[in-house]
Amino acid sequence: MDYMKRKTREYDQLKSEWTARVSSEDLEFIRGNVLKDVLRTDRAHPYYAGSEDSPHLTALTDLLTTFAITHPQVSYCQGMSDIASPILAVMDNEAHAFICFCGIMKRLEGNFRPDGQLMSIKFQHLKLLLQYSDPEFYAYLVSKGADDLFFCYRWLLLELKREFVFDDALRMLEVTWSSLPPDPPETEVELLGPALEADQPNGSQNVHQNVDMEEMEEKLTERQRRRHMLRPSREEADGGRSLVVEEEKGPRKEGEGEYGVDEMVNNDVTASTRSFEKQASFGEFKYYSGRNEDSFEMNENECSDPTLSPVQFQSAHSTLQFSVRQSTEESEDDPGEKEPLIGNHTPSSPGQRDSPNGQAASPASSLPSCPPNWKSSSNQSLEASNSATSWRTASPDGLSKCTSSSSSGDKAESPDKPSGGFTSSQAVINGTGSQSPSVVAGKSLLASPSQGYNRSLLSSPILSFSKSPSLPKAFSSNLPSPCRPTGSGLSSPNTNKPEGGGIKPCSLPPPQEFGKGNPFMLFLCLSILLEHRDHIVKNSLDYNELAMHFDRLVRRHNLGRILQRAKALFADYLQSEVWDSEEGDEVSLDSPATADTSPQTSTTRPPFLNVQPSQGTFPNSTYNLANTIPSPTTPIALSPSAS
Amino acid sequence: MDPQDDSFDFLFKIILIGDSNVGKTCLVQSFKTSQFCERQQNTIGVDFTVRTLSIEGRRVKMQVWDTAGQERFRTITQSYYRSAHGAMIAYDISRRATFDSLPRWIHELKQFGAANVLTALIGNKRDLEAEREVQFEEACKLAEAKGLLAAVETSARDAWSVEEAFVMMARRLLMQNDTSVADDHTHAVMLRSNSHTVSLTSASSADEKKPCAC
Repeated sequence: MDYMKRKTREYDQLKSEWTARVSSEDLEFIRGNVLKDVLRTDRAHPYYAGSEDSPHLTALTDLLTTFAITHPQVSYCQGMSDIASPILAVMDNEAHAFICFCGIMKRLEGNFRPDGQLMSIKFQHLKLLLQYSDPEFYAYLVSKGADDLFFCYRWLLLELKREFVFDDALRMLEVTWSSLPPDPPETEVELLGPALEADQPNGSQNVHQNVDMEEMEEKLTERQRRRHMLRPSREEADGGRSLVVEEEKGPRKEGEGEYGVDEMVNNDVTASTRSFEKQASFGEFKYYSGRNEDSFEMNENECSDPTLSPVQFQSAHSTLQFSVRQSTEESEDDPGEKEPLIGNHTPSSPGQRDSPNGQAASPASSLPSCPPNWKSSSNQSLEASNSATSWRTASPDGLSKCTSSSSSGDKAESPDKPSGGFTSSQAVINGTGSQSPSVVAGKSLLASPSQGYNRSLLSSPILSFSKSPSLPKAFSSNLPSPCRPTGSGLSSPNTNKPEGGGIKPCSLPPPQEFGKGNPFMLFLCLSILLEHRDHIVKNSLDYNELAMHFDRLVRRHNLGRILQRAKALFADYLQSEVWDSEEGDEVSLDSPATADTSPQTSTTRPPFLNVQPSQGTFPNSTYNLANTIPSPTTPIALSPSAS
Repeated sequence: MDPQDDSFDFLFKIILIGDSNVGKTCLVQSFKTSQFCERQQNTIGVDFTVRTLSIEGRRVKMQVWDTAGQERFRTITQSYYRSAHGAMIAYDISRRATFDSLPRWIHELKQFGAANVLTALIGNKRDLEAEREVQFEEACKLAEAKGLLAAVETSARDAWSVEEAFVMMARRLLMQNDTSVADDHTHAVMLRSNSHTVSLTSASSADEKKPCAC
């Protein structure tokens, strides 16, 4: 609370210094440009509808203007309003939204730089992914001269925000951000991560808030969705982290406290439900084992949650360990966050806060954990170990804990207030975290990429893929083949890689590098492409027809289906260790434990699965994935043990 | 993809460039659907639109690349220049700065586009006559000085001269590629409604369209 209050004051201060920082001419120019775009950003959504004098439009304009002035290197660029819009709508607080926006921009500001370097890398990564996943389709695009994938420009620039209806975009962003590995660059993930996380949590929370807002309408459905998306564990964790961070920071604590209270209330009410959800999440985690990293984070988050949110913590009785971990992380994060924010505010370093951004972005909490896995950084390893331990312990105990945490997450969601929104966002994060549980498994996998775990995971993922009807033949075949080899490789991890290499045209960058901080988004893009590849090939669409085809699909994409496929593909990727597994090795340490946990989880799943359906109503995609994936995870677990 | 676009005799690619918020996307929408969208989202990267015109019995498929106006997107939009047959550089008659940017756009087109790309200046938002900051004559002079096809004033809001502008482009491109197609006469006829036509590079004429013309 204090933190947010302080940050709010800081923002107000910055906002009052416009004229001191830039000439009146520049200010007019910037504001004019911002306003032109604000007036045509998401105006169809109730939050931004109505008169052009709407305070919400003014807030968005001021937010972006302040950012442009305080980040002269980036200034304002078209597209930023699309990124800030959902944040503000969720947070419904200009200053808070600004903080979150700064965090996210740390990761995304490169998208808007004139040099286009970051975008080039992202294009390259998407190209690699498509080439790897569906060489047939890729060859088709090459034949049409469309292999530059420029028609995906907006996807990558705005992380798909514009491709979906506003509410779907919120959901998609929640899932994506919560899945984010900690910023790749962030060894400091923890430190920065916290800060970022704080930021991000807010953002996510905001999102949740929006969701909450919407939930008022859809309440149950959205909550479920969010939960699913976030998965209870993560939500709690996120909330916890954010809370913890806040507490540490002191300033934030107040706000957090509120959240916590809300959460507590919510938890009480939803506790039972939450527990189920958590379980479900675990099951999902298992599923997501491929995504291990995330799951780890989730776990961590969960643990942290308790610590983080006093109230939540109460609910999450156990997890002292977690809390400890979190506390450390949080403490680190706090400074980082603060700094980042400050830095952001300071005109000079818009992008510097990368780590913070990354954190904030995801769902930082989830990300941080992931990064550790991916990253070899000591922090990561620590986190991973922590997470792993947490999982290990957690899986048994953890479940209960998780449930409690999840409950907190639920609370967050339920809370009507912004804080609730945050919590909800947290929940979302947690939700991802729940996925992350699987991630945890993944971590173990990651740790021993070559090991059987991965293989098992891979095989399962493959199965899931095959299951998914949408997957193009080529694609499924492609992935499967790599995976399958790995599957066979379960026994011999190494084989997997070789096989994958043989089948796949190329290897993929490691998670910490892939997508430059948002690997999951690449898989969303891939899913969209694959979703339409048959139609494209069948009709022999040329370059322009391709682009027009996807332009027509704007706001018409089936998010649930795309999410499901993307999750499966992402899990496969994480498990397959197509990328150089050097980093992954680090995780190996944890893997054994995780492996054990995963098996357990798998065993437990059945119940969870049952539970999930109810929860999953919305999250369906995730759950479905989980369902499909679970079996795989189980194998994975086995493999771990074997290893 | 588009049923209506299934068959065609000619395919021309038109790139639409110009400063942000001059109404490029609205122009395309007006051309495509004859409808005006008050709050058109800003364009990120490049949007694609296709419409097939029937000119003198020939089906001419017009593929319009609607680009983002902001400088930041220049990298991506420039990649479309080279394969464009025609270019329409739009500005806002109620904002002088957008007109002042035209030389820069023209330069960019010469730098990245094909040597013979057919270019026209489009002064949009002529419905905002009361706020006019750029006289049509100025545009005509610039078009002539730069050797462009024509200068046309349009109003996407009123769908005023939008169709004509695209048809003019199509006609000129058709002439270049099919000698049997009538030349400027028809062209002139089309533009006739305008108060006055300005002869430009290749006997093509630009017509000034005044608000009252409608």
